[in-house]
Amino acid sequence: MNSSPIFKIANGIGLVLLFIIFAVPFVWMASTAFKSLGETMTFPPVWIPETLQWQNFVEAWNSGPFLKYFVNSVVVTLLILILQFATIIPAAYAFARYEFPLKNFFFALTMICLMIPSQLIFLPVYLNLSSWGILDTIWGLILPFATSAFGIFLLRQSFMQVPEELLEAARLDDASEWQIIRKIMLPLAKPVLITLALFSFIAHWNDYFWPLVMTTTDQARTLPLGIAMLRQVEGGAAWNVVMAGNLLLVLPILVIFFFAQKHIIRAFVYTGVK
Amino acid sequence: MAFAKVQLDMEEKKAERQGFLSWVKLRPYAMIFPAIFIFCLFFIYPIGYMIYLSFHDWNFVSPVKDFVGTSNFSYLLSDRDFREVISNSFIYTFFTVFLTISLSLLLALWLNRGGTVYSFMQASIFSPHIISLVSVSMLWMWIMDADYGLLNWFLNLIGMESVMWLTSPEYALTSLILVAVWKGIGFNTLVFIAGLQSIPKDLYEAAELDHTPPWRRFLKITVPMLSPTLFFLTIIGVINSFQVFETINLMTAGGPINSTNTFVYYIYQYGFQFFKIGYASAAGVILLVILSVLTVVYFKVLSKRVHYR
Amino acid sequence: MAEIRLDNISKTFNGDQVVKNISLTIKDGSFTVLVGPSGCGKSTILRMLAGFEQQTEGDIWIDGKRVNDLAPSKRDIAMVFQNYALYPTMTVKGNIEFGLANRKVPKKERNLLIAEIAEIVGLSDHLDKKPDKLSGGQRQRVALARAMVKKPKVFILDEPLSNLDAKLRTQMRTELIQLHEKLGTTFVYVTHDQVEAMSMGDEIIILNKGVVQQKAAPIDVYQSPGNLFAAEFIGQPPMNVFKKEEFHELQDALPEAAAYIGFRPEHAGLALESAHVPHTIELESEILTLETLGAETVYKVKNRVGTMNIRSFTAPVSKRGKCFATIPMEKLYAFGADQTALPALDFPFQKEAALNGVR
Repeated sequence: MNSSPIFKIANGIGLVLLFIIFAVPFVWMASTAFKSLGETMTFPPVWIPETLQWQNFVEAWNSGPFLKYFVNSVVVTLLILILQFATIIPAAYAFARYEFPLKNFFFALTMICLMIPSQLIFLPVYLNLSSWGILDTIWGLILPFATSAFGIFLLRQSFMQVPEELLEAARLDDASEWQIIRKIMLPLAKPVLITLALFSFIAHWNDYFWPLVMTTTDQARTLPLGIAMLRQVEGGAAWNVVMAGNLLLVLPILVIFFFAQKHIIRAFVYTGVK
Repeated sequence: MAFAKVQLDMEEKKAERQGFLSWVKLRPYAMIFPAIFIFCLFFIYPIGYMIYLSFHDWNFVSPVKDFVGTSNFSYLLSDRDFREVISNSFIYTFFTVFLTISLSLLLALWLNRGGTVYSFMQASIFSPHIISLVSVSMLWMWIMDADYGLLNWFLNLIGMESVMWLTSPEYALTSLILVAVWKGIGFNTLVFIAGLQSIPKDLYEAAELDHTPPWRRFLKITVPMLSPTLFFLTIIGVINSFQVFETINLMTAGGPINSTNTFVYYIYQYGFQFFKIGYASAAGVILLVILSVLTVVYFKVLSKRVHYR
Repeated sequence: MAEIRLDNISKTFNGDQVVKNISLTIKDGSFTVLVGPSGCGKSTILRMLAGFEQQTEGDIWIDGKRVNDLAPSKRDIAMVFQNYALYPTMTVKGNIEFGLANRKVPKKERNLLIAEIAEIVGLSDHLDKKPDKLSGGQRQRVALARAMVKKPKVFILDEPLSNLDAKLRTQMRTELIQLHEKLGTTFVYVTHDQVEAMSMGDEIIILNKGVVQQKAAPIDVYQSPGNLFAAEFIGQPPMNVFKKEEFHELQDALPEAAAYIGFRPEHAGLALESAHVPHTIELESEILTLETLGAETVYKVKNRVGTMNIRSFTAPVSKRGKCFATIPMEKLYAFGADQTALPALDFPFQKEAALNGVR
């Protein structure tokens, strides 16, 4: 590589510009969240508000049943996570370790579901949920995601890499299949399990589309919906309140990202490469 | 012989045959059942139901669903709005994927270095990927605000006219593409970097011994070795871009004048605002066909590639 | 302690018969080695014995009990795997304890057993380490300890030394022999390495293409190989074998049935000068290569009969060139057209010698 001073300076400027493109929007969000309404309507814009308007957060939080949204978000995300693990682990183990008639058929079915995005089938699912009477409940947000084709696929890969002798040794050691899964397979698949948990958490914590379609009242709405509705509450102009709410939604994810940065990136990229 | 076989270990075998063995046979099915059940209920059956509905006329509340043959499809194909939706979807997809891929390839070549600065930069450009689309949309609506937005302030700063980013038909789709590129570029860059790092170093060393100039090394080693990654990211990008919904719903609502209406948003509108379930389902079937073709192409090429190696 | 009996065992994989109607008895308390080239069926036999594979035909008896339909864990066997198959996420103690805990052995008793076994295999200081922190030899010992702690009737060892370096392998060989003596349990040991087979087993079963070639004590296999395969498989370098016709000077002395003639490399000699020793075949030869191994030298020589290996402990010739190879007639082995060994050759001079009381 070229290491002349001019190159170094150009490289440095480039890096700074790149950083600005990706960091400034977040800085702008944070700055706006503390502004007064008047300060959002100045041109050229102010970067540092005169006084930190903490009440923006209070206003955002009080503009709707945010506690309800928050609780819904937590419950939905956690239940999806638990149910996914409960269904993924046995299925992945069966696909990885047993031979049984129609196995390939069922696995093909799983792979087809891996390819079907929720954006494609929301309408018929909506109609079904409606006829089952669980529309506009948190179950409508949870049950369709109670398992994950992607998770089965990834965990099966990991289970298949465990050498056969290890299982044979365990069988000689009088271990039941459940003990083999719990004591040998799962500890070995820990990185994949963490990846799946991160994935699932981030995807469903952030999800806007599905709750938007499947809920009609506040009883089942989640945080992203609440934030999106902030804009409409004030007629679209109170950007300081909107950004305050936005910051509340983004902050948990950014904090997790800050601490588990390496792990999250590896998880996303690894599954991207695979 | 047969007699001896029956005679020995009777009790133990009996126990195994009746209880254990049949459970052994059933066990795999029991283990996959919950997952398969959910798949059938929420993926397979809805697809079938959608195809069924696409041949019917239904308004959601009426107790009867009238069979109308393919008239939903012919309506869609003659509908000017829908043709616009298709063209919008293709334009959006093409530019989003093209810009994201080419920019992130350049970024990957640039940022693929060790050290704190570079790993910090990698993390920074990746961060939008894990942020909710709601936050991204809100943030960019504010940044692209015609009167007080940051972007117009910046344009004025470098001596350019303000732009009506989201409120003019000429710029709205472009604005959405910009946001998609901003959000997706980090993920693509990091996958490219992973791809670059998986290229064996000795290939470059061998080329260097042969006095191969750098640009030839790039063309003859980097590009071919990176082509599986490139292909993967392109297909994933195309599939995802075809389903864009959130930014459209939040930032433009398909407007102005239908200029940012795309597939999923169109289905959403027809289903939930106009209550034309038949049309919406037919549009869904068309999207299903497009996505299926893309998926099949992906796997075809993938298996060929595996074959080459 | 248990005797193992295989009754007409066959195993077919996808129409390919890898074990062909084998019947044999492994004596109680013996150290029996199954040896053969890769693909000979030895691992399949082992896996059927352990219960990981179901034989296509035949019965397996362990300690007088037919185990055909018994799950591996019910057969009262323990196994040491080729790559040890230690549970990577458990400590050494956890590895040894796992089987005991699954059998609901009380905690107190477990700890006693583990301490005792760890002492025997010398792992007492490493009980809290994970396998990836151990050396190859230590992992081997953990695998042994894990097998021993269950006090099985039969020990099955699947090429347990193949992942160790040469020095450690020799050491572990001795330790395994001592362990077998101490425990007195039946050991079934699978290897492709004939040195291991010869040095460790008190009985060797040579397998090839799913068929038992010979079953005998190591020294018997060496001194009177049952067929051509056994003769060429055991011994390093292998026995030199030629068509009978190549030795035209012997034609009259050889039995009619003989088709092949063989001799072991160490029985032949090498000299620079012709000596005309009686009852010895002398061949004018050219040395192609010589490997000096320290105590011994292995020559590869070419002569009118063909190319042969000669192994010598005295290094009579120190460089390549012309020389004379000598083969004592009494050391020749004869094999029939079907490759089975013929009875020991008796030449007239041997009878004379016997009569004269020279020997």
